[in-house]
Amino acid sequence: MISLADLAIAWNAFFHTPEPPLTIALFRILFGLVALTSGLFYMPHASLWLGPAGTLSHERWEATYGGVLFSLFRWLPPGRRSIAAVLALHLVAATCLTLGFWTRVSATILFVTLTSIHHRHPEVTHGGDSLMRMMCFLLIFSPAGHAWSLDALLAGAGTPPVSSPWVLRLLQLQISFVYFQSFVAKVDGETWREGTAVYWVWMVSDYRRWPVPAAIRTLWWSRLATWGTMALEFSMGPLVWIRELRYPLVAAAAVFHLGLEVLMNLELFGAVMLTGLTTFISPYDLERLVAALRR
Amino acid sequence: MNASAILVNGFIALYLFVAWSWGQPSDSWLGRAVAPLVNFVFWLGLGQTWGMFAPDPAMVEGHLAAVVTTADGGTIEWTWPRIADLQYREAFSMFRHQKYEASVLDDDTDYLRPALAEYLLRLHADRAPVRVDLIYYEHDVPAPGVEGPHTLERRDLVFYSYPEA
Repeated sequence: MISLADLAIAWNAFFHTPEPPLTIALFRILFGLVALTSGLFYMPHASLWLGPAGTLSHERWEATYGGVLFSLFRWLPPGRRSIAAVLALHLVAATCLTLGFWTRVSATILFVTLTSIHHRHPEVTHGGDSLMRMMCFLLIFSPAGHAWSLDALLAGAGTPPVSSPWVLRLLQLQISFVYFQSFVAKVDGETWREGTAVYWVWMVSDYRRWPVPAAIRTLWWSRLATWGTMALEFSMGPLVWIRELRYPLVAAAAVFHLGLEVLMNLELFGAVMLTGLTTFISPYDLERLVAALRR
Repeated sequence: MNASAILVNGFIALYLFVAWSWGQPSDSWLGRAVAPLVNFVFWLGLGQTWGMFAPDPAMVEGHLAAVVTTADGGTIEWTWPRIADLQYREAFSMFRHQKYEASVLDDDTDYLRPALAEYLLRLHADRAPVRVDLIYYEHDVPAPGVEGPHTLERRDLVFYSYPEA
């Protein structure tokens, strides 16, 4: 049996044991760059996805999602100027977040612009977009600007103060949850259970970058890739929380996403997941790395 | 415990509760418990559904096209860009085209179909278009380990017409 007092101690130890804000600062920089790139990718197709005369007219969008999804576009006059203003605000906020300038304000504005853009045409967004919104939302509450930032530089701060890493823990739990729920969703799929799912993904979809070589169109290769994917997604759920397994699993997940990047076009999904994986790097290991690089 | 600690721990608990409960069947106790928050969380863009080609990826290759009929009886053939035909960099920035195509073909998001038809009418306004037929080109793909042509039978299906009857 475990007492409530012991649970409270474990909760506080997990969420609130102070540590240097280096991991969340690294995450902030990488996340800002991904958000910036995402905004740049929207620009050439902005009128198609966000415009009143695009594939989802303002009237159709209002009729379907008016009031259901938050978006600045609900209150802005439909047209090019509104799109340009929101995208410009997005790029400025992403740049400021990357640099750690007015970090909390930048994260808040970026969350508003990200959500506004995604919600203007929700059916062209993907899992990476959803995860970006959650990451950005959590960053608002984090001490991500306390290290490696213009905010810290302007404040004349020396060594960044240790603080409660509860936002970092939520980010880690969120990433772990994404993998585990993906595994659970796959268990219901016949192609995942029989080991052919990866074959169909490669062969059928427009996601693939290259023609699939005959050597990996075989059943055994498909089974290896399909069940390997499921094993990794399961492991990133509960097993990544075991200290000795954390880095091997994070490394395996990074190799998995880099492999997907080579084989498939998933836009920024891989970059978002790789950015998320950095939350599992210990700030003390980052400290040691920085010290070693300075020597 | 001071007020800010209560607030922070309450926020953590709420975030984890929503993440864990999201997508649970609405008649389960977790589904019922999270129900009062669903609309607000969804509005804020923090809903959680993680599938990643689950439960099963598509096993046929489908592509979106349309035929626009003009007032004089002529026709315009229109094809949605195929990502597989694009160069690496172009394909990267046009990823959302693929998502859009899949959504138009998905019955769960069929509200996109009249919106697309109206877009095509605007796109070809100079030709006085009067009708749009959305077409789905479907190809079979051989099963794993089966040699032979990658593209077998092709089926063309008009899955939406505008204006609606």
